[in-house]
Amino acid sequence: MTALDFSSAGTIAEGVNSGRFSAAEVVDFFLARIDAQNPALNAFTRVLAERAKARAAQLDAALTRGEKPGPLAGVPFAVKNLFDIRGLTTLAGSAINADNPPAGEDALLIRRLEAKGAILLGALAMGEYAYDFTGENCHYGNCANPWNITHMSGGSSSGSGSAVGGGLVPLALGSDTNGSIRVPASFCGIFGLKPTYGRLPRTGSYPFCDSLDHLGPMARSSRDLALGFDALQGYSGSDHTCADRPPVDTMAELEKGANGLRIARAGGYFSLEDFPQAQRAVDKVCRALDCAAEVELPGTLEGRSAAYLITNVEGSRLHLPRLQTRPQDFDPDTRDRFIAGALLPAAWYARAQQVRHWYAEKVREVFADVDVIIAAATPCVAPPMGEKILNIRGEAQMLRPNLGYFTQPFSALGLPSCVVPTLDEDSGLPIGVQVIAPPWREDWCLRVARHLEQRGFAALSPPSMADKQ
Amino acid sequence: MVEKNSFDPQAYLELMQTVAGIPIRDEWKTGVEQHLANAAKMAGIVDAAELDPHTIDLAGVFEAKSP
Repeated sequence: MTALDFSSAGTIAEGVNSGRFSAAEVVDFFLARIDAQNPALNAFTRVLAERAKARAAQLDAALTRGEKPGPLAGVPFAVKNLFDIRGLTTLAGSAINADNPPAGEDALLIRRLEAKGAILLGALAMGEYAYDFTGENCHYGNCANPWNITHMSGGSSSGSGSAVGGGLVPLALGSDTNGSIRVPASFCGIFGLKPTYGRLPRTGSYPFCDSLDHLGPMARSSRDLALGFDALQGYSGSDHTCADRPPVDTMAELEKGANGLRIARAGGYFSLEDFPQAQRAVDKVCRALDCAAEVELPGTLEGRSAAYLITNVEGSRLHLPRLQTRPQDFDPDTRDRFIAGALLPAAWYARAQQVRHWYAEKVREVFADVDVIIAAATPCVAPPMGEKILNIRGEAQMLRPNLGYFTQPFSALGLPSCVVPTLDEDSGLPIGVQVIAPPWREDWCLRVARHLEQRGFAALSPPSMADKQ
Repeated sequence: MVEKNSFDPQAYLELMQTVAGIPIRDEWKTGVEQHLANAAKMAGIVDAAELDPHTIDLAGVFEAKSP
């Protein structure tokens, strides 16, 4: 069934709903593909073959009875292993959590996708406790980039980026505290959406930093992203940050494209003179959008620094009991950061929360004149695995905290941001561009993403994987 | 404002590891100190933000819920 290679979620759902192929055939195809490709990528930490086959059989039986399972009928998906999956221990990329009991039920967002006909295929790799932008993990092995397996997949939703980029699933869920959906989407050449803070309930997912944690979808097309996002939406009182707002019907808005939207490129902090790969990507996107305007987001350096401190302190407080009793069981790369965060003065944290509010107010004013902002997603294409240093504005800095240099400010702001893929011809590797909108306007992000996709900014098949089953 | 030169990550780590109750092995200290220095740099930037000096500190929103 080679016709399903790199096929979209929309195509699969249409095929299953119309009876062109069965959900069971879809599941068999993707299980075989995972079997063939996962050893090189290390994207899946657990494949749920039996569960997926049973679910496919249920869907096929429903179709035989004349029922329509939904807009995601038969669409295989997988989730970062911080989502609870009934009967599995929620690892969150750690060895420590392996001692925890299995989850009693699926995370809410898994249940929502399944209610629309999707089929869960398994759990995906991630950086330990989501404190990662690289995709490296000393406990379970590094997750590789499907474009070049010696390069980073990006993180912390590493398996989600790698699996979707490599065509192992058309749709995945990730989490994004400071860029953990957008960095792997950029490195793996796919679309990824960090919704507005508070849009999607995080119920049944392992936390990192309550003030900044978001969940969201990753896919190979803007349409699949919209399809997935619409299925995920809806208020739930089970997450205290989830806003009681009506869902936005992004599928209905998608084909409006960029019409009528005032688009500007982010300048100042986001200027790209020192980042040639990111600069080429943003230039190409802005040309395609006929966007010459530039806008500065005041307070970004301060806002980004605030997000850094908030994450460091809240994440470290969460893990303090484990840092006190078994620090040797952490991944060394995350342990050192968590220990540092556990020691920071409370005044730094309180000030950071205050500055976050200040920054959000300043940027809110910018949206009086602009609807959509374009910015780089990552400073560069995926670095080789093991790289430790990143040059930021002429200064050699630690790579791990700084791959989120362009994504972290929008986490502080809680704004929706969609990564659109581009290809850097010089390196032969993808690099993404962020499309950012005001709070609650994910539809605007997705409309611009769709507009760009129609002009060639699509998720390409990695050359090394396109001809392999 | 946290002055770049006023924060000594090595001395701070020695002081605080006991307070936090985290057993930190000697071979981890260089890495932790790097992250402390980075956090101090971030704190300096945050501290220098030009907020209205008369602004009140914002607290997280607390909502009292009915039983």
